[in-house]
Amino acid sequence: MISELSASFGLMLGLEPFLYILIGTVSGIVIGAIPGLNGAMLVALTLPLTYGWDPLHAIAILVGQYVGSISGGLVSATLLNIPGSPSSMMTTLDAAPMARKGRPLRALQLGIIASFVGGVVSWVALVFLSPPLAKIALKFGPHEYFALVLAALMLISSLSEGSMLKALISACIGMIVALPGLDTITAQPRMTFGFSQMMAGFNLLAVLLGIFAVTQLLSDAGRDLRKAERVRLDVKESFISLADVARQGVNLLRSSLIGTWIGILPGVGGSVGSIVSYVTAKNMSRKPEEFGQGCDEGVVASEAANNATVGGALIPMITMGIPGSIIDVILIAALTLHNIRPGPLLFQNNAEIVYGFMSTMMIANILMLVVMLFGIRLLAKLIDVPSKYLVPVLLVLCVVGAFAVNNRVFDVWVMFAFGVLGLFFRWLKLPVAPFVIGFILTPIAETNFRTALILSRNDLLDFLTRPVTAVLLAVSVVVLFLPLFRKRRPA
Amino acid sequence: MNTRSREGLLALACLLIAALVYWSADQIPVSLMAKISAGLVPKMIAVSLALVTCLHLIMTFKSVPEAEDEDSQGAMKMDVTESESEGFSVWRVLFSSMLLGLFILCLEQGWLGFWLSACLFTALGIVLLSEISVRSLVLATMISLLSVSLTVLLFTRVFTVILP
Repeated sequence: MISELSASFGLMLGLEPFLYILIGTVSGIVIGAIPGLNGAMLVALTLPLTYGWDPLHAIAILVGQYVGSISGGLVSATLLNIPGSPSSMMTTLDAAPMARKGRPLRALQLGIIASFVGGVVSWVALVFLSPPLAKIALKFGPHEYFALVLAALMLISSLSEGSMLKALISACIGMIVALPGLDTITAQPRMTFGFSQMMAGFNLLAVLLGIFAVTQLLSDAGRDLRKAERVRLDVKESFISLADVARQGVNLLRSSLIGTWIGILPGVGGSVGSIVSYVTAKNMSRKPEEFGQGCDEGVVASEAANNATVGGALIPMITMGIPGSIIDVILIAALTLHNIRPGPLLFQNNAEIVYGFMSTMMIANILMLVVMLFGIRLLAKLIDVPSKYLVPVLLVLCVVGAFAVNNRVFDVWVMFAFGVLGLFFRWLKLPVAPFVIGFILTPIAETNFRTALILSRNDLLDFLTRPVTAVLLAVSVVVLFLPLFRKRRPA
Repeated sequence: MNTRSREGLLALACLLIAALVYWSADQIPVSLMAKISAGLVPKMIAVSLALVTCLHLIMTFKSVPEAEDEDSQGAMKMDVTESESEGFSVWRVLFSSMLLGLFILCLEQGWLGFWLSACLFTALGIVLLSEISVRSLVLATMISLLSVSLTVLLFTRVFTVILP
């Protein structure tokens, strides 16, 4: 493993892949820093460009954007008191007050270093946990795989923000969207409603562009973020000392581990990671009353955890083909576009892709640290770009992206329809993560379920007699009915 | 729209979708190749959606007291933070969506070329989101010409993508 990993580092540090990682990381940081724009949107927008590229170059730019966008949210969270990305939500609680007290650079530097440490800890987990997990997953048959996907869907629904029933509704709608097209086993047309363009189902990229980019941009069109006042970075502040960082050692490690663990859970992204880590840091702090007033611990806990979710989320994606976060759904789409199927066989069939993910993540983390520490004043100016200029320009790019894959306007209409659907989701307070994960996992779940039924001669009891399947199904049932036995969560 | 009406609307839409999916799956004949029909999984999902929706509807009507529900009346707001929602305009979202729909229709019907329709869309979009003034009109024209020309150049020359 070490030799493959070092070879991959050698490959990704070549001029061309390195440039892709650099462009990805910088664009991710910039988009993450601009309020209203987020990483999922950027990765979805870049995806169509990578269609004809070498898969490793595609991974280089997309993973760079993933790492950069999670980190970039810190800038507007500190200077504007508005989280640049959802995962920086908890950062605003302490970074913004610290900036208003005249120490914006300290807040930013602490956040950047915490982001880097979080990224490195989760990278270590990615490198050492992925191979054994993939080996276990290789032993799974269709029964186990179906039960695993079902458990993942239940877990996503239970961990989504708000009502679990709404998350389940969202997941069911996502599953329905995945149904049209030719049936994978009998090749019969299904739910095409007379549209010949629907024979291949809804184009994955068009759906992702619609639900992530178009929805975000259309709702940005309705917002007026110009009123926000920015904290200026013209104050003279010295660089934070090593002692400052060392004082946060335990907090850094704990938050990074929490973030990594939350990242491994399917469909749960950086925002949940930073909330859990922030609350834990506050509960374990000697001075909990300082949280929310601009304390170092709050900034470190939130930023270390949200960056740690990146590596954690890549673990189930690489080893089992189950997305750890919504950006991982787009990464799965990227691999699918290049005829690579994520899952346990990835280690055997496309080891260079697996190690490409690992080395890119580490390089992107180092680049993020350097770019953000030394380019922070420039980044602070970029967040002043008003969204009114960006929204129409980016919408044109969405149209081109949706058209480019199959050269048909039908896919652009699909993108538009899912963009509008995403707006309704927001209005109805339906979480979008279960929808996209239901959409991406349904073909896998269906194929495995029906193959399992064929193998067991339509005997459903076969699912219960296999120990792993039975345990996973039991987990699904427990997760489904758990909310009935606990107090209703506050809204 | 109050919480009950909104959740009722969601439930109605979901039940309609479930019924449509079930009916559509029911039309699929059983294949000679496999005993399990291609309609089995769609039917399972449709039934699950209907069940979850009914449960959600019951829970909503049980848990939201009428008095609280009346208090929650208000304009359609997206899921944004408090500071952002202050300046939120549904009309801007609606007009932007309509403009995007019109842009795609132009491309589909071939009424204008990609370059011209994209320029018009970008310029009108910027004007729609700005306060109308001579300065904003000039800026909108400049940004649209520059951004669309760059997009066309980038996609056709660098990425060799065919544009609509």
